[in-house]
Amino acid sequence: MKGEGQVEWDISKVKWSICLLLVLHISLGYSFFLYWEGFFTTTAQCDDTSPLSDADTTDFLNNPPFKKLVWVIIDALRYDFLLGERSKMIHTHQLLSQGKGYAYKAHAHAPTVTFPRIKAMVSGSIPAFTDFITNFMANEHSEDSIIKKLYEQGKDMVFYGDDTWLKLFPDLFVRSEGTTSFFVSDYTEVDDNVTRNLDIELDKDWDVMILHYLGLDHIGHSYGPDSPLMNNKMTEMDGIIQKIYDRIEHDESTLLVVCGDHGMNQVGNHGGSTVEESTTGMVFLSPSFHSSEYVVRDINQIDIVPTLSNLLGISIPLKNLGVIIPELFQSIINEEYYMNSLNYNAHQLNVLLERYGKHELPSYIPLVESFQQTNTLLKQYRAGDIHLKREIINHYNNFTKHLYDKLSVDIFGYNEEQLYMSIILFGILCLTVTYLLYFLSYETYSYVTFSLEIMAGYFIGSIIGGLCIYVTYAILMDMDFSMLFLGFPFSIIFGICISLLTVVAVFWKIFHGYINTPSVDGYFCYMGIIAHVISLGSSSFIEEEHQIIYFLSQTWLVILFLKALVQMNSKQYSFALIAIVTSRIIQSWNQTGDKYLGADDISKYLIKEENYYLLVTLSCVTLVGIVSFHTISSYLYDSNDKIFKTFKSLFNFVLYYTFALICMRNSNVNNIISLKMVEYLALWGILVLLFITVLNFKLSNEETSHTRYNLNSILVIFGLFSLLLHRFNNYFLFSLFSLQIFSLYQYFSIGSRKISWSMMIGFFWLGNSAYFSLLNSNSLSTIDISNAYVGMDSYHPVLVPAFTYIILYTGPILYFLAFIVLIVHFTPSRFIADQNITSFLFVTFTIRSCFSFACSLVLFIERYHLFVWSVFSPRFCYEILHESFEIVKVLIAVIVMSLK
Amino acid sequence: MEGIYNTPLEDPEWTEIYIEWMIGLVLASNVGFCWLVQNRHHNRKLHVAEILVITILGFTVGTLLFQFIAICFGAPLLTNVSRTLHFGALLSAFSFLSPCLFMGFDTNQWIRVYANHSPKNKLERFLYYTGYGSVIGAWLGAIPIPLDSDRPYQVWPVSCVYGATGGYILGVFIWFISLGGFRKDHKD
Repeated sequence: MKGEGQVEWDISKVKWSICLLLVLHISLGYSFFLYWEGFFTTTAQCDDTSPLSDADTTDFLNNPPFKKLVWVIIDALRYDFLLGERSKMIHTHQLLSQGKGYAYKAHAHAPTVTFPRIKAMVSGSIPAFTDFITNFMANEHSEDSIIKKLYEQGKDMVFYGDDTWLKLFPDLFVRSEGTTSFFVSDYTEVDDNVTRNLDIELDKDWDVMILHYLGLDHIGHSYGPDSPLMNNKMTEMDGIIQKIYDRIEHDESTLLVVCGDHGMNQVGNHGGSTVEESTTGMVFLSPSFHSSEYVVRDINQIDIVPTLSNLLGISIPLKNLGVIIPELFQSIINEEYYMNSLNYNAHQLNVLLERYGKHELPSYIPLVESFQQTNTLLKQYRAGDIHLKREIINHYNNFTKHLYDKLSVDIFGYNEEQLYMSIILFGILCLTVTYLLYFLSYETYSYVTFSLEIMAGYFIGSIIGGLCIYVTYAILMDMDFSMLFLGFPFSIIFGICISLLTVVAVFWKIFHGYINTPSVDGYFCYMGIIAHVISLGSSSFIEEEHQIIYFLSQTWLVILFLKALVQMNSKQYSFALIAIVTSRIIQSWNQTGDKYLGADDISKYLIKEENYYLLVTLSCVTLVGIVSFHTISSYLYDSNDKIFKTFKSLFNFVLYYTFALICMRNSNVNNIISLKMVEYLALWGILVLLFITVLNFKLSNEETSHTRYNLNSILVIFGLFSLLLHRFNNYFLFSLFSLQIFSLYQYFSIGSRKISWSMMIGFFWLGNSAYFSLLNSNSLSTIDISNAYVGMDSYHPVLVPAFTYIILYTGPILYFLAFIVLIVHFTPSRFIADQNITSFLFVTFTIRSCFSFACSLVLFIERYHLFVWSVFSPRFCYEILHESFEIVKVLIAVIVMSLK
Repeated sequence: MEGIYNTPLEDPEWTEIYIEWMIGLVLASNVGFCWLVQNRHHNRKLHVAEILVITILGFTVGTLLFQFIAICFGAPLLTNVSRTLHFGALLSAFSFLSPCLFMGFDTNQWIRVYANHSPKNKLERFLYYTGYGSVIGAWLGAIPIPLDSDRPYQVWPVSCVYGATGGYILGVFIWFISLGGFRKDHKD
């Protein structure tokens, strides 16, 4: 059974293994589902049926200080664009230094994307993590919000800007015009459309005007925050603020609010919770303000909700968690109004606390008591005890701030039983699959068995560790929750002991000659996988996962190089050297991750204006390279089969046509419609190419050379397609990928040409480095959608997500296809090729299941960690995506196997 | 607590000075040992000039080689050139120079000792353990660099220099232990 002789395999065995693999995938998917349910969707339930508080707290609202509101939202207005030293918004600064307004650094909650931010700024609630996913599926906002309250009060509202608002509030605006945030590369027209309407509206009659400018965000996405365009945009926005303020200058009852919905990071993306992404600028301007000094204070973004409600005299939305901003009240209104507002805010928060059913928790009792005491003080004050006012204000301030601090954390709960269940399921699955691989191992993988024993041992250790945590938790259930962490040392020691025992057992077996000694790269591969799995426990290693992958893949290549060097095989080691150098260039193409994000890289160097010719030359090398690769391969695989020949020339014809279209698309065609048309045609070209190849597979003779030619064609088609989906400055990366794959192909073609476990892991790592080098990372903000609309005029519910997915996984798909081609080229018979592909899928699934298990365990352990929403949860979401990609791989493999 | 981590060695400039001293020490002891004791290649006595040529050549080639490897592993190419050079020089002194001096540029011997893991005598075992120790140590030393705690030791190449030195010392230590176990072959 173990490595001795070949286990007999036949076609049905391959089929059964694929079925088994799918079953395993489904059970992994089920564990993900369980975990997702238990972790992400279990926010505390809020009973929102009962009416709010008694009337006497809201009476004061009948006489509000402001009657009209102009709310300008500038998308991605990071704090320093509005208020920092680099800001070009001179007029705004003048107004602020004249004391006509107040400036704030508003901290947005994650996820920092537009849709949840708008929701938060109108309802005051903190969106759940899953709102990131629903960002693209904006639908009508049914919850309580200030917009709704304003509407109920009969205010005439007008809106111009991002049409997300119109999707959220379809019928509440008197006049409106939406601009779509669809063409990310358009940054003038989206804003001109809003400003055009502004000029008309300023002369008309309205109570509330909301403007949402998108251009700044678009510049950020396309050119980054340091682009000179950004300064122009800031000046433009400043002019708009000035224009509005000039109009309201003599109208003391109008309030002008300027704010950003989120910030942007050093490359211009957003979505995560770094300081750059979550700190936005917010300014309140009005002629009635008399600020004594120009200071910037820190607030939460949702604080705008109760503040606006009280300033405009509407009731605070039900689910609001924000607290009112004191300065705005202190400067214009009498303290009585301020105190009433605070009282109202405190009441509302207290009601919210009761609705969440948390007011009886021991940790809240002191807060609730202090609130009741303050209410008594207020009664005394109303009875005539005037000097209590300051004290009451202080008390309410403290109460609201503390309640926010606690409740904003506590409303996100977890279904822990379900989490335990799914983690144990992950663990069992992981164990099953490792042992399955162990028993299914065949001749070519004499040392697969060996490495898997260690891996299995490690994971038995971990699972027992996990159970230890569970038992400790169960025992300490009634005690303080932090005691749970006592279980850790035990579980870790246990895990290590078991792993060590397994290692000892394996070495004993080697010593007694049961198992062949694995090669150095084989050793390295499983050690690397284990190290990588362990590294998931650290938040910074998750953020910098690409560094680990780069390091591992590079070391793997160096080991290959050294092996060739020792054998004095000059051809082999020079190819390994090419792969190493290529890999290094690939790694420095796009700087990703968190720590060095925005540092210099080749891609940034190329998009500078003075290097334009270099960029074009390099990209042309790629374009021409793909076509010439195909031309060469069609010369190499000549055949007498008529059908094959016909399809080949047909393929060439369509290929050149598509190639010409892609070239046209990348030349400077400025007219948007014709560009979309070109893309559309190119997409069709690619589809036709795929169709021809499939027909060629099916109809021509089943000769090995035909299969190889057709597989090469699939690589070419995928190459062309990815050129359509990726940015121009990444084009040359594809040449580098091809060069690396080619040199590895040459490297492995010398010698036994057996597919080893180390090759599988090596290609898996290289695919992952390609993934990271295309500017992906473990932050959700780096998913690139700018080209997902290729060939489309509007959002398409199937194609846009599908294209985004392909953009995300271009690197891994490329390396996976390349590895399949390599397997088919290297194995003498179709049957052995199928066997190898299946085992490759098993190996990657094993790795994936280990990662899923580790990810879920880490996310569970760290669920009260500061970075749970910014680091661990996104990593888990990526793990789900990776697992889905694993299923896609199985499907691709099945298609390829059935075609051959 | 902060102070514990901030020894002067963690300042990159200090690291360079430290590396220079370390190289001087290793170079001096190697050359001295070669000149005074083990100056034979294939039973031919080496001339002083030969030793010097080997030292200079081996050291330079090794430095460039390890600098190249470091760059392949992600060390910056255009910035911090001096630091990468120093790091290369350190590894060269630790693991490349001594085999050059004591085994010459004989590829077969190198392969026998390093690739086939069969050093024959005390000296070769020393080269074997320290060579592997310092290279693997330097490799492992790169692990803390991406962590986000921003400690001074995470600056390239401080942690790798620590790793290399630690690995070298560990190698010497293991060699020292192995002396007891392999007495039989100490005649050749």
